[in-house]
Amino acid sequence: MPSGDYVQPEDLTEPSELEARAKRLERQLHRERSVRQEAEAITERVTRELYDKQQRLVLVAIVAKAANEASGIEDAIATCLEAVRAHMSWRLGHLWLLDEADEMVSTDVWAGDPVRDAAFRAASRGLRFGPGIGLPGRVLAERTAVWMSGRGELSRLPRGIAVDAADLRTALCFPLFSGSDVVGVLEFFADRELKPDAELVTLMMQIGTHLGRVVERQRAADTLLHQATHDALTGLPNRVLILDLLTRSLARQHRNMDYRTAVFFIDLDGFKEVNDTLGHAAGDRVLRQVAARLSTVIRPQDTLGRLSGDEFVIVCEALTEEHPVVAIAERLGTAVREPIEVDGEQFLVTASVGIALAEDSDAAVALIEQADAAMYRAKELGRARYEIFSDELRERIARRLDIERALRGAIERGELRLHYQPEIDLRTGAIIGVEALLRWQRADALMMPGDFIGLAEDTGLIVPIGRWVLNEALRQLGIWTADEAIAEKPWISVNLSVRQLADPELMPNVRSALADHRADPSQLLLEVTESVIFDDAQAGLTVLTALRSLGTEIAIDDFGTGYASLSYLRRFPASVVKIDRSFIVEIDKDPRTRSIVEAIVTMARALDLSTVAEGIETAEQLAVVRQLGFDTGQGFYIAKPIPATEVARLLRAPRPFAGLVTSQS
Amino acid sequence: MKGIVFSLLEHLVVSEHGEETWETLLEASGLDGVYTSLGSYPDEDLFKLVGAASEALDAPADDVVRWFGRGAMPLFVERYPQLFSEHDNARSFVLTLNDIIHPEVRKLYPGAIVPEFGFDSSRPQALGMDYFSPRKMCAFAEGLLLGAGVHYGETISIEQPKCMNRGDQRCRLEITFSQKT
Repeated sequence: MPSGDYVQPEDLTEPSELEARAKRLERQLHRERSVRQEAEAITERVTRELYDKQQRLVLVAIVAKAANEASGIEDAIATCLEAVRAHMSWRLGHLWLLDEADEMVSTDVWAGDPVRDAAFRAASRGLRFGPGIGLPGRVLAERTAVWMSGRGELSRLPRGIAVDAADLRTALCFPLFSGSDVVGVLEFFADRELKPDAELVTLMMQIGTHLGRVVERQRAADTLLHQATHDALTGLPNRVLILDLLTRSLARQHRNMDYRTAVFFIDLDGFKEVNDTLGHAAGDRVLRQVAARLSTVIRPQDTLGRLSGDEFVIVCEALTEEHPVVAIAERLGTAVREPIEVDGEQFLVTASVGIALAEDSDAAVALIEQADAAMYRAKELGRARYEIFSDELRERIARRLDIERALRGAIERGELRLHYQPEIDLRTGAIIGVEALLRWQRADALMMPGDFIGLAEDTGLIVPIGRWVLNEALRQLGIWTADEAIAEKPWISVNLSVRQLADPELMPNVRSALADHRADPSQLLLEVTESVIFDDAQAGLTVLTALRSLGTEIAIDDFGTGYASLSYLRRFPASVVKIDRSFIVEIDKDPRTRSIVEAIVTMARALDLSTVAEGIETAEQLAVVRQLGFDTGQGFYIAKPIPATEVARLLRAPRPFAGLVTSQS
Repeated sequence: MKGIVFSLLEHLVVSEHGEETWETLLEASGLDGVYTSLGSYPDEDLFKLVGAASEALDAPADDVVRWFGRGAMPLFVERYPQLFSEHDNARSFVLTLNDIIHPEVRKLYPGAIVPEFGFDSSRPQALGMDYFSPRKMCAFAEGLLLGAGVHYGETISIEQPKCMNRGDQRCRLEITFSQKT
């Protein structure tokens, strides 16, 4: 075989050619290795970035979770502070919060090793920085993160010496935002010198917004707590907080027998008039002034609170003798008595003060009630004075409670009675009406309305009692109506209290009582006092108009004692005016009284109202009221309130009092 | 063992002894040599390579590992310059191992087993360093320490009063840093 026809392997293994080929392969290998390393480097970078990004997401998630779940601001921020510190591998973190003075105040919330950082923490304790001062102050003023590195720069900070001593090299401080307000600052320190990291700063600003929400929520909660325990008008502690303080004070008294707790119950005299004449806004200003004055006369350890309206309470703690109680009471009285100026007008306000000294076993609520009772007694005794709750007062209250308990069962036990006082026609002497008056046969004693009606009003018992009175009176009216021996059927008048008028059941009750006894509504005269339209004129007038629409008659009782203005009188749906007995008593002696009454009678006649003179006790009084032209007369001189059977006897006789009116005329 | 270690070893062998030597080591170890820094490979592979090198050089395996550690340092400097630039001396750099460097390693290689170090930094020109790792590669740590000294222009001397390879619970390295000249 000719060798030249084939390319032999030897031909390709020329040393130079092999060498070139090996070199090429080596270059190729080197290139492949470089490509691999390049690819590895890229992957590393991407992996690291991904890791960092993930860690940031984890950090933000931790912060958001802590922000949402934490019960208190310090817990939440402590958790986040440590998470952020660990994320950055920095040495320590610290929280600053803005206070009312708009300064950043160092808190006790830290992250990092407490032992290693003890000196630096101690150097930061109690510090406060205004805008622009120190790191927190700079963040407060600039409203953005501050990054500082290098010992030189850091040592110029207000805490420079401590920063140096702790060998801190980098600081990052950023704001906590609530809306657009900086409410706090987080600061972090590293013990290495680190260049500003824009991504980290962005992340921290994001965290600052999360944590700002926590601060905001806490502030709102604090405000709510304050609102729940303080009176909005005066900023004083309210009943809730006063009871709490008092309970604690009583517990301390229990532990230390030398201490006593006293409660002052203060009620302003005549405050209602200020409110009524000047309006509530002025009344509120008076209350604020009174609150300010009261707070200046108490001792630093005492607490002033407002219960409601014009009722204030002072809790005096740790009294070692009784003397200060009297001194405080006198100072209170003097402080309130100074004229108060509102809207350029001066007002004189006085205070009735009740004081209760705690016995060992007293509960907070009971003590306030005792002070209240003593205050009530001070009012009874003429206002503008103080009374100390005593055993005597305790007995009075016990008696009152006793009456209340007994009164609750009085209707069921059939102890209530009605007596009737005749009202006579002053021209003919005929009985034209009778007023139903309540009596309570309690064991052997016959109790008069003055003994228990006030209590019935206070306790609301007046409503069932009033219902019984109405039914009983109409039942009696039915008997007289059916009595053929009685020619002239009288009206029957029944008193309605303000409390009854406010009872939504009043209308249905009156309607069903009229129906049950088949009574003629026009025979029922409902007596109300002027005070009905005093508290809430429109509501009072509405109820009276509704009652009138049932066909009943309305009388204004005790006329002349209240404050009803004539313009209300014009709208009052009444047909009868009963002039108060206080006028009648004087009518034959005091010419001025006589003139007033004369004017009232003239006016009533002009308004087409029938007039009744109440409380006629003498022949002279009867003579004058007849002269003045009263239509009807009522009083002891004519007839006392008497049981129904006796009234029936009088009713059967025609004009039983004719002798009175004829002999006088 | 993380691929980065094989990658560094390959890089070091090739640059100091040429392609042939790396091939020879692989052949002698019976390994295919497919390593990338992204993967994980049996610890045994590394020990085989070290064993082969030890045999070829007729030198103790620890000396090979120490050489590797010392030689790997410049490669770390090349790849991660920022970890070094924040320090001006080896001691300060070494102290960041637990807090900075190994966390960085974990970023890249979740689950990487890195040695735990304990430091006694009470003396200014020295460091007491406890080493614990199931791989017992304290010699690698020694090499790296020496390499760090080279980088910062310092001479570092290391004594090892305790060693896991001698049956101790953990290794103790007493490191002395020389003043820069």
